[in-house]
Amino acid sequence: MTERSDETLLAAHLRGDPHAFGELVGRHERRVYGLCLRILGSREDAEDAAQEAFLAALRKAASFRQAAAFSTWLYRIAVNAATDQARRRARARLTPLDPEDAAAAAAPGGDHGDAVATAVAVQAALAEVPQEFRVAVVLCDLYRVPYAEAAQILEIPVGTVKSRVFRGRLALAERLEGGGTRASGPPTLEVVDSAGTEELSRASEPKKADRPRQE
Amino acid sequence: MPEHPDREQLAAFQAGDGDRRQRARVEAHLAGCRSCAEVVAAVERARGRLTLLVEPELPAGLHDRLVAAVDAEAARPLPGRARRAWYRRPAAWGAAAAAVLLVALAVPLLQLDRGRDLATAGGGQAAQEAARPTAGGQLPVITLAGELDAERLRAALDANPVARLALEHAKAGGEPAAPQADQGANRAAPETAAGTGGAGEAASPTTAAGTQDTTAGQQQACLPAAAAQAGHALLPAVLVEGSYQGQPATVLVTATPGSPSQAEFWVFPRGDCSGRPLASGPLR
Repeated sequence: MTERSDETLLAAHLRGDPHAFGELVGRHERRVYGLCLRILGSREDAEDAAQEAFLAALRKAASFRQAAAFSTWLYRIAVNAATDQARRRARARLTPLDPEDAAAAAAPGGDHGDAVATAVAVQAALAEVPQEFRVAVVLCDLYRVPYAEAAQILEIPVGTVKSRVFRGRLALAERLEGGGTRASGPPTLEVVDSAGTEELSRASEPKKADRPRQE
Repeated sequence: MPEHPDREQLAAFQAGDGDRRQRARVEAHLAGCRSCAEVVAAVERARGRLTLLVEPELPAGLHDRLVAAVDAEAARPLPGRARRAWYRRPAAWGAAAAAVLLVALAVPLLQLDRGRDLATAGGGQAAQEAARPTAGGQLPVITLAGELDAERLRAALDANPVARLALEHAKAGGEPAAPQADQGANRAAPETAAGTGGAGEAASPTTAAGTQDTTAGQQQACLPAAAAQAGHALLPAVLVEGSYQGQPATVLVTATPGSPSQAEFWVFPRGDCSGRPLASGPLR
């Protein structure tokens, strides 16, 4: 027997199959948790949000329409659960990354300690990116969700997704590369109108020399 | 230097959007504008850094926690709507029917000669005669050769005037149709159990006393069992004999008092109503 599709499983659940929804949880839990973790930056909050997401999906199961893929529908619920959780916990952005998670976050290979340190820095910087942009970056850059699908998940136009991803990356770069200028002055890289161009040029010059491992 | 592209334009450029002319214009700008080129480069570097964040492992225990939460939520009765137990939902019957179909497919040839009897189960004069509602006692019995499924059950009930009348009568809130002076004539369809009657007798009713006793006994015991499962009173309408998952089975067809549009069926092992029904479902 071939493996049942997500949509088939959901239909089976709605018809009373007592195991179908559990199978959907098993299939998608890692991704739902991961999305929540990258959006929230805190393992504890991500676990709560993942649970909320699956409970919400269970309650809304009857309203699922085949117009979208199940995964698109579920990720929308997960993103909403994560943003709700962030609202409940305004402290989310200040929560330090769990060291255990930091180790797991590091890409395999290379200098492990260095990779962990860098991954921790990236996660910390990501947590400071404005949430609207961060969600778009998490979906499109971390989870490789195509722009068109991210537009469905977030229920915004595709152009807006691209813009948010771009701004999110820019904000991330500013936080990773901005160094000490962030606290004192306005974000430099974010300013691209003519008034900010001068400052950007001046700000980026000396920093380049200070960064031996830029890429 | 022409005007700097705004962020929307740079975003579109980086996403690979725009026609050749638009892209060429942004490219030309980037070639001559260090600040804009640095913005695009920084964004690219940020994208590179993000690859360091691999998909995290699921924390230990989270799977169990999620499944427990989902199970608890599913078990919680919804306000304003009673959740039906899984075995009373159409899907359960559908799954059962699918299993039944598999068994049926495995032994199609053995069932061929019995299959002809099914075609005659729809009535004939004997059945018409039996359609006399009277007080108390026996239900009409339909015998279906081979495996039962919801589709066949419905078709057989539709095709059999006695069964149809009995069901209509029960739905209208009446007493079950009808004991007959002659118990044999009460059977709405020919008995096809092994050893009773050959193909030549298919169109005429048989008494089949042994089976009759079993069925009569079952109707007494199965109604309470079905009602217990349903959680409310049921009006018995028709009994159907056949096999379910390869075992002899009796199906009790019932109506629900006060719900004239509702009819349901309950599958029991033949001769045994002591446990829960093997399957059940609505009869549409």
